[in-house]
Amino acid sequence: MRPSRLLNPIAAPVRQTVRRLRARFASEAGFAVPTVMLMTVAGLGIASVGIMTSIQGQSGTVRDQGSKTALAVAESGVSQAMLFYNRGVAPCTPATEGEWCGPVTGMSVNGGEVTYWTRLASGEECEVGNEVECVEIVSTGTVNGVTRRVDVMASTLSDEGSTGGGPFVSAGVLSKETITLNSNSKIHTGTSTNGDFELESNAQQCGPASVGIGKKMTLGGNSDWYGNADCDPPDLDPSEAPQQELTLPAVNQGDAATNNDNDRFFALDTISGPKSDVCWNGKKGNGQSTSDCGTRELRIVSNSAVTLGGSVYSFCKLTLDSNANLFIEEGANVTIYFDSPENCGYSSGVTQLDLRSNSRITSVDGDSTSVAFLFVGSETRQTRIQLNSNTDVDGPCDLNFVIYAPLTDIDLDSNSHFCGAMAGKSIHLDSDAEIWSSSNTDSFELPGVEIPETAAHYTPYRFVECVAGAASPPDAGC
Amino acid sequence: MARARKAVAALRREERGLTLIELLVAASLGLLVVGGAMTMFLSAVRSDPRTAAKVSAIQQARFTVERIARELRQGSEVPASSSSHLEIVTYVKTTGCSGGEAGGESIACRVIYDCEGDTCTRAVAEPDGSGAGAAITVATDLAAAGVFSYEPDEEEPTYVGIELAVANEGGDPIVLSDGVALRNLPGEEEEA
Repeated sequence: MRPSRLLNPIAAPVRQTVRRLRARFASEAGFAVPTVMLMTVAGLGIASVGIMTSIQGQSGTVRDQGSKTALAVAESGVSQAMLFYNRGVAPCTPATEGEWCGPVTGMSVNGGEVTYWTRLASGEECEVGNEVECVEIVSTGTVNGVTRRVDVMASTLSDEGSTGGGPFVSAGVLSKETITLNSNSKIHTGTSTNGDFELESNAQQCGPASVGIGKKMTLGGNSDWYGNADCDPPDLDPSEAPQQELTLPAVNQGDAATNNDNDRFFALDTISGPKSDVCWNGKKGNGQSTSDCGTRELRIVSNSAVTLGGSVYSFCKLTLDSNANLFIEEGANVTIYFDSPENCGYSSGVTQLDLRSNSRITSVDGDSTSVAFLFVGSETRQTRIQLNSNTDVDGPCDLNFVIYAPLTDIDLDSNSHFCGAMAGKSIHLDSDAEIWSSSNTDSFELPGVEIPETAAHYTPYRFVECVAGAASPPDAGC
Repeated sequence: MARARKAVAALRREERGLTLIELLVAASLGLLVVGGAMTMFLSAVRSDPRTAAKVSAIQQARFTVERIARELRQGSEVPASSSSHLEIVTYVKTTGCSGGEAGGESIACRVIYDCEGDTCTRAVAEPDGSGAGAAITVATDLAAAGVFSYEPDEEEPTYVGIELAVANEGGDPIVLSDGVALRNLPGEEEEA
């Protein structure tokens, strides 16, 4: 009998136990789970400490940002209310002095909520000495649960002239709709439009500019905006172009269509050069009838010139071509009315002033010369002004050349230069065209038109921040 | 059947031969990983109070900057200005400039900020500078007393910059900057 067999009763259970333990140790499953869990917990712990610290640090920054945005939103409410008053209307009722009107829900800014109240006041309550009336505006701005409230007093100053003045008081180039500058074109004076102002391809606006309410100025293709007429740096930010409403009253030609100096052609307003190259009212300068020009149409071509010495003319169309000149007599004060397309029998799209191929409108000499081209235009039929191919409407820039055409589209192209003041329905400059300002165009007054008084302009003079949150009365805690 | 038993036995024999080494290696690696993780965890936990203190200091400085900015924004006149000293006539919600209590309507007073060493104080006086009240500390632990800057110049500023550099233990100072356009300057229109 083998000895192992003798020990068998004891050795068997031991071997069995050892075998079981070996089996347990051989299995890795029991260790993998706790190890992974422990590592996961440790990782989560470390991450959560970092996240909590970061959140704590960030919360202040987020609130700080919200607080600043809320202030900006509240101030935007003040601007919105001021805009109403500066346009001559109250933002809400009652608009009577001393009573609060509101709350008015303003236009949302940066996702924030705007609410404002306004109150008209006068006299001592306005606190400053030279105002005639004032308005108090309380505005709250709320962004992401952060609210800020501001109280602004604004006044109209008694020395502010409320007379209308001329149309070019604020800017030398005015457009009822849009202004577009392309291909190296430049404006060297203040520009104001009721619509957008677009500059492309190296175009430059050199002088102040404003756009319509809710409209914008855009610069593309190396175009620039400078604050001065000489286009000297620094350039300005187009997003900061002020927005304002522009009103261009219609031309009132009165009885100019019948009572005018048209009969001066060509006895008093004489022709220089070949008379056969000038045509007025269906007749050439030499008296021959022609179809080259119709009723009240003046056409000058081929190096000829006509000198105007009257004061009021009524045209339907003026065409200058091939080095033609229209001179203004020394000391003359010429106003040319361009009648409506309906009265002239034109269909839509007619070009009523057409200057081409080195033609000129200029004065003979003399600083007092004043020339105004006033276009009646039409609401229903398109009328156009075209200055093209090296044309010049200028002279010394102290002359008062004015094109006023609130219902007419104006195009300047191919090196055309204009010196004076210009108002049109739309204005488009292309291919090196340039507009320069005239020193005295701001004093030009539209004949027969009384420009309505501008609304009182309010200027803020007191800004205080209030305890946050709406209150009653609205300025409590301010 | 016998063949299957043999195969299982062979498999067990193979595992038996490697289990102890695997266990030791796995245990060592596990200890290393867990030890490292625990070290990082404990380090993060230990540094949390320091981080929390830093966050608290930033919050405090931010509050101070915001408070100064609010007061300056309403300013109408700057009678005295330097990088460490600023006197500004502004609106203060108080019952009176000299010795008044906080609250009430906003009235024009002269607020005097004076920074020296690591502390900035604030006092309120009448608009002409008379009757200045007690100076109250508004900022401490500053790394630099130069707090204010001016645009376009110190004499007639339209914009005041504020920069608080708070000392930071074991690191560079924590710097908070802000700035405001003075809204109530004579003849100045509201600025953004």
